[in-house]
Amino acid sequence: MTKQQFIDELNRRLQIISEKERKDIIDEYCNHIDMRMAEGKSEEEAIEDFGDIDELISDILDAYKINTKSMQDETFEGKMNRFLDDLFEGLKKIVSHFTSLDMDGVVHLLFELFITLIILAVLRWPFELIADLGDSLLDSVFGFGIGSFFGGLWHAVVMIIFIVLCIVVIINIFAKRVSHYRHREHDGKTVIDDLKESFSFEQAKENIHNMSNEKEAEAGAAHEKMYHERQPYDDKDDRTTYRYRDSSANSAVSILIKIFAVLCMIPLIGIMVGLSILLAIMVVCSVQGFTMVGAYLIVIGLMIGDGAVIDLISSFAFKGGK
Amino acid sequence: MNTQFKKGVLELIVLLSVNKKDMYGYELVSEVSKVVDVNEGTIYPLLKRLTNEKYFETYLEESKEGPPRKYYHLTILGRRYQKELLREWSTFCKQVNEFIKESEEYDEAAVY
Repeated sequence: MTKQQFIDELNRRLQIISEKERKDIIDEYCNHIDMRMAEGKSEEEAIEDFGDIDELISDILDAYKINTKSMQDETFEGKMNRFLDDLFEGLKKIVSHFTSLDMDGVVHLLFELFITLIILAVLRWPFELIADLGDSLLDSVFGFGIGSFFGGLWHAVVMIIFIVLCIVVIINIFAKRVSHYRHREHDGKTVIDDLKESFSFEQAKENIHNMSNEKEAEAGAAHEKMYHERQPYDDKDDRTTYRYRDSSANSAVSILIKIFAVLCMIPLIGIMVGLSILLAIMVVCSVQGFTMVGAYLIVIGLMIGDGAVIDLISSFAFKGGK
Repeated sequence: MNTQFKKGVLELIVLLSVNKKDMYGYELVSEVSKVVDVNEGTIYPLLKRLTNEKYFETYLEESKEGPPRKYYHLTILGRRYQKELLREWSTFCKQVNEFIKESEEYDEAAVY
């Protein structure tokens, strides 16, 4: 590993530490490497002498009392195992909490899940578009036989990426919603925020870690501790929403999302108008002495749902960060 | 040598070294390496931790050979901690050695 690679790796994996401290740590290591090199060692040797970088990161985080249990086991298998364990735990919790959640919570949860699925279905279009574009492009470039092979391959790759993204997002959101309801803290975070955060894969892993972090914190105690653990969590939120805005990979998607959002909004607004007229008619009927309670409920429910969807889509697509 | 032994006593050695005189990172690593052969990388996090726990104070001093160096200085709290650790180590050593002696006597007895 070169010195620059070492520095980058440390920077990447110590994101949770404040910038000043991180720089301090990295500077010390750099100094050490430089001095070793002055003695005649090569860059690679000096870094090798540091040993296993995973252990190093773990030790550093220990110094700041950051839970490092979840940082171990960086092998894919380890990660998979932990991921599956956490998933299983999560599902068990969900089941046990459905029985303890009041109706309101359950309805809320299901509604938001539904919205997430709709949003994901909408997002499928840009991916399909990209897939088809790539497909026809490759077709024309490579000529028929090979072209269609590459085209199919491209299509498959894009769809796989999309499916993985969906799974990550769904699990993420589900985990977060459950943990939100568990603590009865609705601190204003909606599905939109969760969705935005989900666009960063690292955040996804860290969320699973946070879930296990929260488990350990629960054994201890109070809401206060929970709140403090949420602080670094919230910092990351700001950073990921910032990342979401800055990263160029996402801006193409966000433009496409905006386009589709506008297209979706038009019929939705039309529905809203129609429902308002319907409501007016209902009122007129009531005045005439002809009340249909059931119909009222349906219309009002649809209006609320419609309003929520419009609101979700518009704030997701157009407000981006906070 | 067994890593567990090394890790356990590393803190004590670091504290004793800085007790003698204020040192900067690299110097400290060299000192400690003379006593016990440890992974150089792990000493820095240890220094960080001890600083965060207020056992060390750090200050920067200009150096002719390069960038300013960060020196570590043992605080009163640190000195107290170091004495405590030393005491624990001595007790620990004594108990372990006694136990070893007993085991050896038993061993010799058993052979015959």
